[in-house]
Amino acid sequence: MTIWLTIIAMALVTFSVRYVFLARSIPIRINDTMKRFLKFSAPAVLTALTVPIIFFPEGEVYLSTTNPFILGAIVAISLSLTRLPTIWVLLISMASFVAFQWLL
Amino acid sequence: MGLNIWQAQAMSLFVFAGAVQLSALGLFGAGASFSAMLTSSLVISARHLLYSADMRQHILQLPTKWRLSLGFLLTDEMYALSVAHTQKTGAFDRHYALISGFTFYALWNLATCVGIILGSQAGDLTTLGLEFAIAATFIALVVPYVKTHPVVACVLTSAIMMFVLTYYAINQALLLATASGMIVGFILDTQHEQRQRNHTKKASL
Repeated sequence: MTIWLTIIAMALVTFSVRYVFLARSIPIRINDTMKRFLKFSAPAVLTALTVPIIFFPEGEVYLSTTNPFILGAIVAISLSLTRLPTIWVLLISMASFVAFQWLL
Repeated sequence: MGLNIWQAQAMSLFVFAGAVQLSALGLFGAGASFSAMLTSSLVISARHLLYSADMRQHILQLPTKWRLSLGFLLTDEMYALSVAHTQKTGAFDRHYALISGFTFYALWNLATCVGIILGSQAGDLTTLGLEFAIAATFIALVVPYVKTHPVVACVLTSAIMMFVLTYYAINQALLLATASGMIVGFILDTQHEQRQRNHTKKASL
């Protein structure tokens, strides 16, 4: 029951942030300074979400050249810097992750 | 405490936000509190405020059913496509936005469904692989942003802060790391803007 309630509440949160400035009843406008600040939201939050997965794979810090998550992330970052389409970046880095896991 | 298949599909049907859903899987697994789940959902999806504010000029005059549907379908992908289309054609096309948004909705739900079926058969072996797939997706999304000095500083600050806060098991690590990254990026961006403004002022004198 709590899970369903959480899902509904999360749905309300994700809908609200999308709809808030599309609602007529909301007279506020967001100024350019605020827009400049929010521009940094996506890179900051996506980075913060990635760090624990890579450096704390099973809850404990794992800083080592044999950590397949770190090696796979290096592959993903390098490929993302090329013009390779995103789907290939993902497929190749996942394949290398599996390979690192198997080899190390 | 994991999700059953109906709950997993309901996440895609109603929450419909990749990063929020993926991090929620981990939080549900760790038995996080209701308020922690909501705070992290808010922090992760805050970037949609920017999309919403930017789309306002095109969508505000549309009828309610359009505003509600386009609002629900406003994702990173739909926003990116719609902005590109508007720039190319010179005008916002509500049908283009609706169709691209709905296509991503249908694909995301289909992928979730396939994932649930495969996942229920593959068992625990895939958990680590899924975790890595999530990280790789985030990396592929972030790297293209990293083109200016303020964004580099923002990403590095966020990463270092998150590492340290996770290491010391500090509460609200995600919120704190994200906020520090945004503030550092914003400060550098402001300085950059001011320098440019002074530059143009000097040039015009």
